[in-house]
Amino acid sequence: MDKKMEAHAVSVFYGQTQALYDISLTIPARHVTALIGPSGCGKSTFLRCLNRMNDVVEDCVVRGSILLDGQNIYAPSVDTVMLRARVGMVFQKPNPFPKSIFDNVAYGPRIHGMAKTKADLEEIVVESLKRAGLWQEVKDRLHTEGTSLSGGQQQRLCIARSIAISPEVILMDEPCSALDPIATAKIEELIDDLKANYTIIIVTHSMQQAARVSQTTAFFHMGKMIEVGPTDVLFTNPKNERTQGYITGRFG
Amino acid sequence: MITPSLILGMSVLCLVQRFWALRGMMKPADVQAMQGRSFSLNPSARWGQVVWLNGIVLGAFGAMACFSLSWETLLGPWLSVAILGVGWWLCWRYLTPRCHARAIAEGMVITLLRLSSLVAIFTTAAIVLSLTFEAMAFFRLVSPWDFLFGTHWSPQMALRSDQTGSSGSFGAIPLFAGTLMMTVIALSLALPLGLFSAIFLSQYATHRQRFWLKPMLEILSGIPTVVYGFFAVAVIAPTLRDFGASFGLTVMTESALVAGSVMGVMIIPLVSSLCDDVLSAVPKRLKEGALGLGATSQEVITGVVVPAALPGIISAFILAFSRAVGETMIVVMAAGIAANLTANPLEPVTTVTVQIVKLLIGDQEFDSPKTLSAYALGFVLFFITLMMNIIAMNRIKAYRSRYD
Amino acid sequence: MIDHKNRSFRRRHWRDRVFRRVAVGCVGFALLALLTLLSSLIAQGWGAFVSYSVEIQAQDIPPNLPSSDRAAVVAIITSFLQTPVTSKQDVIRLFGADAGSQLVAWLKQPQGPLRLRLSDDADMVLKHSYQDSPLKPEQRKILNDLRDLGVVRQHFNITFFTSGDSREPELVGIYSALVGSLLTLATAFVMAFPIGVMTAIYLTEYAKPSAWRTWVEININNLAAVPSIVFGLLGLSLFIQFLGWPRSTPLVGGAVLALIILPTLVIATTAALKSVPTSIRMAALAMGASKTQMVFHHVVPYSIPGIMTGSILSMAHILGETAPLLLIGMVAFIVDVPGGITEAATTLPVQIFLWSESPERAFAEKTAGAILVLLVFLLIMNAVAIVLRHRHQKTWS
Repeated sequence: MDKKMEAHAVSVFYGQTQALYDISLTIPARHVTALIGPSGCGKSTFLRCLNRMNDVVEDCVVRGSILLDGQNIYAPSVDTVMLRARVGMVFQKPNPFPKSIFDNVAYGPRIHGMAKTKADLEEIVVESLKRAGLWQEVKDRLHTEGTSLSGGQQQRLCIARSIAISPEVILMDEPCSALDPIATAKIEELIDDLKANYTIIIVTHSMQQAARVSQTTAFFHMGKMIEVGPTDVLFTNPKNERTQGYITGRFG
Repeated sequence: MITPSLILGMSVLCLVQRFWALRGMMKPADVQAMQGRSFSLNPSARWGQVVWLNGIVLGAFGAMACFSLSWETLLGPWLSVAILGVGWWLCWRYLTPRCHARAIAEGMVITLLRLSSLVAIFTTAAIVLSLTFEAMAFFRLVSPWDFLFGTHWSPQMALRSDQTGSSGSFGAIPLFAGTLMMTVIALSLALPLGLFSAIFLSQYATHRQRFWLKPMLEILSGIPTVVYGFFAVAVIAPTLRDFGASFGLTVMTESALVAGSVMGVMIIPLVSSLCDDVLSAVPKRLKEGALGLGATSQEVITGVVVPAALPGIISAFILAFSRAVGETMIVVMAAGIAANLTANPLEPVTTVTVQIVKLLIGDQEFDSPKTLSAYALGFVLFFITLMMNIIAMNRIKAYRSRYD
Repeated sequence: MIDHKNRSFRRRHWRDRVFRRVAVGCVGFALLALLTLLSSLIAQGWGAFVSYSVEIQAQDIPPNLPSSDRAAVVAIITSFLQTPVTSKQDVIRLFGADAGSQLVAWLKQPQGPLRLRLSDDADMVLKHSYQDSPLKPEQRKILNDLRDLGVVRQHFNITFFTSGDSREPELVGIYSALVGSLLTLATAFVMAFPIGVMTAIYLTEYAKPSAWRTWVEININNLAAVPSIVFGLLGLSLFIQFLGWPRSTPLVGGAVLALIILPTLVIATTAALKSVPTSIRMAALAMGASKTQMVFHHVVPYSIPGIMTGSILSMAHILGETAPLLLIGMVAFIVDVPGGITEAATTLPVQIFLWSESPERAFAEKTAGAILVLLVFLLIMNAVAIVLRHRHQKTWS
């Protein structure tokens, strides 16, 4: 199995406080990797390191190295814009732009100059909406506001938006925590479809979700990575007692 | 001649920009090819941005060159075309795929933004410099001691030097006293009324009442001061005079009371909106805590809400003070010109702002003490309000940090 | 024990009620002040929008008029009156200063009835029937006769909206002042808007928390509270004295007003930019937008309603600004419509100030009328701003 991303001894500091301690993790390509752990354990922080969204936070310092296809994304020559075009992200709360559905999806291809003609652009938009499983629901109202959709549709719109620039890795930060069970099921189905083409890293609160969608799971606790392994192994036969405690619901 | 040329030039610019933008874009396949190799280069650099910005700069230079040369000769248009051409050629040479075009273009934008933020600093500097400069010129003619502590103000200069009183006298105490009296009258009306209005709006009013009352108060605060001035002269002054006469009091038409009370009405919405903000910002838990102990709403307000908001309320009062000191049109229209040193609010007094306006209306000579004295007064006014503002801002900051 | 408690309860509730009533009373006072202000202005100013003229049908005009236009006016009027007129001066002074030229113009193109404007004194007597009017008893009699003949007509005072300042109250209008206001405001907007918005964008989006940013912010907050007359002093010494720009012009006036609204604009724009939620910024960045693309593709477009609200409110604020304009000489007597921003002009509030200084009673009416026009403009601007704000608040909720 080829590895897509590798983290080596990543530590993150917000000013004086240390949020992550020496995380080393390998992320296999075309695979769903789930990061689980109680809230405040640093799993979202780690996820945001993978496309350098932490750069936006003032006085946030990242130590160690993260490799994408063997290249360190924290090297000084790296352009974060290009990095984020390759490593997309879907957030906890659906956050479509207050623009039309079409413009939401077309925004990425437009700024990255991926379409030469209008027809090309339309093709990309339609293709992305289809892959995100939203096409049937919105094909007649591409020019209504993206914010007028339901929560689950908005989240799928955000997924369509991020796959429109054909990234290699998609980061998902608790993508279902604001959604109802039916919308959650749809998103999980979608993740399962997407893993054929994309490497997906998902942060989730729900162990059931991690068990359903992921092939690899990493357990974070208090800023440290306690355990990582194939999902079925980790959930049935955890090595560490803290992992055991968490998955059996003794703390969380 | 110049306008059509500029329009033509700009449309050519736009066309070329579109062309470049398209050229700068790459096929998705190319993007894919780039992926996995490097992210240091931005393959889809919007070269157009740089071309466009350079084009504007060079176009502006070209237009300026053509202004200085005559447009009537053929040289002008051709020269501008030549300059633009050189610009395009330079851009063409400069813009290779290796050039980090977006960073350059964005650097230019940020520089522009940063430069515009300098204007605020320049304005303050210009105010301080011009006031200081002219005030210094004034203090070379009149001693600062006489100005600050003299009790006689008659700035009228004689036309001929042999006339009596040719030097004028510049003792500003009557103006300061007049300003103070006017301010005290205005604030003794505005502060309680404004504060209680704010208490009503923030503590008692229903959603619906707020919805209607807030815009009403905004209208009151949006009315120009010249309108208040007219209102004072045309409505309040005659009414007060008749009212006073019915008690056997002589209320002068231009009395301090008239101008001061109208100014007070003008300041009510300022006080109420500032106090409303700070009172609404008091956390609900404090109020609920007191209510839970069985306090009446009056006891909650006077015992909990107002004390908690006190720093904010005080700074609102200070801002109201500096507003009253600097208010001009009401006093120019409704207060007197003669510099009386009196403590009777029914007599006319004059203020610093009135004198500034009266001294500078009409022709000014920047070497006569009469004109320059206005700047000395402005200097005093500016520094008083500056001190007040700084105190008020610090208090507000302290208040905000308490509940954030 | 219970009784004691009850008494204390009663006292506390009484205090509570009194307190509440005081608060209501204070709001009531503010509203009453607003009401008094508006109603007294309307009572004084409605007359500015109507005026009286004498209308004479073509067939009623006697032939063989004297060659002098004023004498001709007198001849026409006397031909109507039954009683002989003792003084021709009394007749002509009942009419506006331009009655002669009105007649000449009508004689050249006799269409419809001849309309002769009444003088301000006659006009005021007809509107308010003052007893202490400067009209002589003979003149009042002539006026009454004319009214009984049915030739005195009341009509909309179009002159008030089409002409400039004048020494004669019946001829004044606010048109040149309105154009002056418009030019000054446009100049101020063009100067202040880009700089204000760019400053706000820089401060909220780009500047890192540093001594420099704090310094700029302190400056802006302080400038917002500097009395406007100080800006007038600055304008006088910087633009006119130092840079030598032409006095009394919309250019200088606009520049001074631009400096006055700059801080307000910056503060309003900053608030609008800050109201765009972080999640939208994050979304843009995660799509691979650069910071500048994030700002200009998303944050700025989404805060345009807020920026517009702030701009309209600050425009409304300087539309009424008077004091600094007095200092830079925009108090000139302007009859003609200013043709550009480098020609002498006056603005509506300054015109109001100038008229309010005039002793004639008719000018007080014109002043109140001009104020009403000004207030209508302000009301419209405020209403638009409030509507925009409500709509904007909905976007993010």
